Amino acid sequence: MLSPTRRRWLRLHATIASAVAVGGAVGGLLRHGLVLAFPYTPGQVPYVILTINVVGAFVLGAGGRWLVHTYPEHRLVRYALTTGLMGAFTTFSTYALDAVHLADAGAQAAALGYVAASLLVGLLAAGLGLATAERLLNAHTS
Amino acid sequence: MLLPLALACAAAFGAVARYATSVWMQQYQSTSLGGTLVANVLGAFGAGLVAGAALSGMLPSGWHLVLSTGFLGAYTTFSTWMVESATLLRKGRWRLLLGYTLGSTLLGTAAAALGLALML
Repeated sequence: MLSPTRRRWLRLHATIASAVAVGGAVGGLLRHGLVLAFPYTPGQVPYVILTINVVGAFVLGAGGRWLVHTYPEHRLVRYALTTGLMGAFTTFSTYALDAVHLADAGAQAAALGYVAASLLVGLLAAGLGLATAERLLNAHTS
Repeated sequence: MLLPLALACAAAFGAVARYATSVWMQQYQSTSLGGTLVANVLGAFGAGLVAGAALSGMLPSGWHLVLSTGFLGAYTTFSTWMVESATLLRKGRWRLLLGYTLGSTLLGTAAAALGLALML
């Protein structure tokens, strides 16, 4: 049977996974709702996905860091909001597939532009988020 | 309706699967990058497969949404990938940044294209 250490490890990860599951369900539903509100076809640039991904990158950059420092003991809530919600809200698979669809539809320039824009704006957003959290945290302690 | 419920469950599973992938990959490397990379590339491949299957008429209605938007959309993550990349950038880890960020992009789009091609 399982050793006490193994059992403790499993229980810990199962608890975290439950928190992640709740956040994941919410994040997925949010993304689904937004795509329903702003639908697109395979040959079109998916601005809704781009927006979701970039906003998510900023929020995770800012929120993730801020939460860890402000609520270090609320691990489950943090996991639910970051790994769960933001992780499920944003998507890489849709992004990659949509780029392929754009290229297949003959819009190779748009495909490249979409990939480049997602990368650059995403990095910028994440970096800004991290910097924002730092600023907020420094302001708090000074 | 039933579809949003199925989608929510699929998303919950996807997020948990991503967490499990991350924990599993941390046995082999101490950062979170490996887990994100594996999940994103596998998820992109899966998205290609599902889209190809749907286009070929192999998927009953509703399944595409649940599997792709729900499970795979939650299994993969753009935000985590970007925050990790931005952290690499801020630390001046240029080689790792290039390998990880560009690598994910290339591998991910290739995986999606492969999945799609396999099912068409």
